[in-house]
Amino acid sequence: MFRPDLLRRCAAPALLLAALCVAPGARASDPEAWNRIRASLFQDRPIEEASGDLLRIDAPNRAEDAAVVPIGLHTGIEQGTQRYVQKSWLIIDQNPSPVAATFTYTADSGRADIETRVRVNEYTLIRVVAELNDGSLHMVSRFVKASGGCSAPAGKDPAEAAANLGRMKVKVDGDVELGKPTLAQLMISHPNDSGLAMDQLSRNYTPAHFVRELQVSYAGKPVLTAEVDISISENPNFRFYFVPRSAGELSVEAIDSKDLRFRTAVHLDPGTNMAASVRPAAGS
Amino acid sequence: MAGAAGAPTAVLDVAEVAPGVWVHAGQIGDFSPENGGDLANLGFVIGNRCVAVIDTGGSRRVGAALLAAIRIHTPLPVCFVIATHMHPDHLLGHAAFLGEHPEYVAAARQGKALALRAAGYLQRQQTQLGADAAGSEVVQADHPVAGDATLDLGGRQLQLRAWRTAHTDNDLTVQDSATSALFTGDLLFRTHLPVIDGSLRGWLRVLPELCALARPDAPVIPGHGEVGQGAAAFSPEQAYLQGLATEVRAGLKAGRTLTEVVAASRMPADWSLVDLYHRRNVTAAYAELEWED
Repeated sequence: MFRPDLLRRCAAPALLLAALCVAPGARASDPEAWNRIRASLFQDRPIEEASGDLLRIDAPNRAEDAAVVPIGLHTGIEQGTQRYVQKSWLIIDQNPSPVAATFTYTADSGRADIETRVRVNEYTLIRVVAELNDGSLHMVSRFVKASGGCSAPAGKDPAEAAANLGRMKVKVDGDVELGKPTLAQLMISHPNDSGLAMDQLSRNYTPAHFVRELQVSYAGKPVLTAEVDISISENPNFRFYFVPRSAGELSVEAIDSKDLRFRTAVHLDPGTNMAASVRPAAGS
Repeated sequence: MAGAAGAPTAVLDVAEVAPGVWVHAGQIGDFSPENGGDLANLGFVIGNRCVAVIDTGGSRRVGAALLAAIRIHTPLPVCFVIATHMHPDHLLGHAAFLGEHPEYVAAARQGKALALRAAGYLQRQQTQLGADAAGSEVVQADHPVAGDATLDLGGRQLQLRAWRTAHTDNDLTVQDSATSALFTGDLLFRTHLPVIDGSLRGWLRVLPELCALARPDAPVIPGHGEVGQGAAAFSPEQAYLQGLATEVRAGLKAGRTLTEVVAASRMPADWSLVDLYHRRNVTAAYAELEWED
C-alpha cells in the first residue's frame, strides 16, 4: 500500500525532498514566510511570546492526515473580565494562504477558545496571535510535520459531497447553565475546495470554493465572527464557547466564496432539561 | 507465495492458484527502494483467445516483470489490463503493457479520481523509488465499467463489478467464470492493515455482498496479503472495520474530540503496518461518522 496523505502535495519536488529527508526543524527556522505575514498583518507592532497560562496551541507533532489536522487554541482567561481576547489569528507559515482564520470575540464568547481542523501543505510552524482588549499582541507557536494537505482533492466521494453541500449541524452537549461559558460545535458540509488540486486530464484546477465567513449569535447578540480560508479542512468543523444569559437561539450563518449563505440554529432553554431542536440549514 | 524481499527482478514470481489463474504476491509495505513498488498482489487469467491482467504494480518495472512472467506461461496477446482501483501501487505498471495494445479497464469513476491525484502519485513514487520509478506513467482507462460487465477471454469470461464507495470511490472486482476465483482488489486486505480512502460505512455495507460472491472452494485474491478461500477470508477485515466503527461511534457519543479519540485508540493486534495506518483510519472514520444521525 502507500500513504494517501503523503501523496497530497503540491509543492515543488525540491521541497518534497526537504519535507521527507531533512531533519525536522530545518524549515521551521525559515523566518522569511513569517516576516512577510507579520509585516502584512501587524506591521511593526510588538508581539510578545505568550505564557502558557495566557495562550496555548494544541496540535499533533505529526499529522495522521495532512488534510485533517486537528488544532486547538486555548486561553487561560475568561472573556468579559478586565482582560480579554478580542481577536485571534490562526497562521500556518508555509501554507499557500497562511492566514487560516481570523476570529473576533465578544464578552458573550465566554472563552476565546477554538478547535478546528486544518490542511497543512508542508512541515511548518503553526501559530496563534491573540490581541487583548488593551491592544497588546501575544503569540504561541507549534511545529507540525505534515505535507500535501492543500492540494489533496477534496472528497473521498465527490458525488455525495455535492449532494450535501451546505448541510449544517450545531450541537451543544450536556446541561446549559445561565451565565456560564458553554461549549458548542458547528459542522458544515462543504468541500472547501482549495483551488490547488489539478485535474491531469483537463489540465484545469478544481476551482476554489470555500467557506469564507462565519457569524455566530446567541439570543440576537453576536458571539463570534470568523474569516476563514482554504487552509480549513473539507467539511469545516469548529468548537467554540458562548455564554447564554437567557433562553434563546444559537444561530450560525456561513457564507462561502460563491456568496452562498447557509444558516442553522438551535434553541436553548438553560436550566431546564433542554431538548435542542435543530432547524434545517437554509441556502439562499 | 510470500513475495521475497528486495527490488523486483526482471521476472516476477507467480503461482497458479486455479487453472489458468496466476497470482504474484506483492510485498507488505510502503513504497521504498527496497521493494521497488512491488506492493500489491497482481494477477493474470489465460483464456483460449487472450490474457487479462489484473493490476500491474507500483512502477513500470514491476509491470514489465509481470509481463515477462506472463510470457513464460503463454504466448497469447494481452487483451485487457484491469485496474481494481486508482491507487498507484496497483496501476503505475500499466505503461509496461502499452506495446500489447490492450483495452485498459477500470471503474467509471476512476477517471476523474485518478486525474485529480495523478501528479501527486507520480511525484511521490519518484521521490520514494528513485531510479526504479523510471518510465512509470498514469495510463487512464479507455473501457470504463459502471455496474456489471463481462470480458470474454475465449472459453472463459471475467465478471467485473464496480462498487459503491468503499475502500475508494472506484473499486472494481473481477471474478473468473471458469474457476470462480475472485480478485477483490483492496476491498479485501489480509495481513496488511486495511486502509480507508473512501467510506467506512460504505465498505461495511459492501463486504457482505462481496463475501457472497466468494465460492467456498475457490481462491479469493486480496489486494494485499495471502490468497484465501471462500467467505472466511473476509472475517478479519470485517472485524477490524466493525471494531473501528464501534470505537469511534462510542467516542462521538461521549462527546470526545477527534484528537481525544485518536489518542485513546488502542493499536490492533494481528495486522502489519499498524503504525502507518491505524490512527489515520481512526481520523478518517471520525470525520465520516460524526455526520451520522
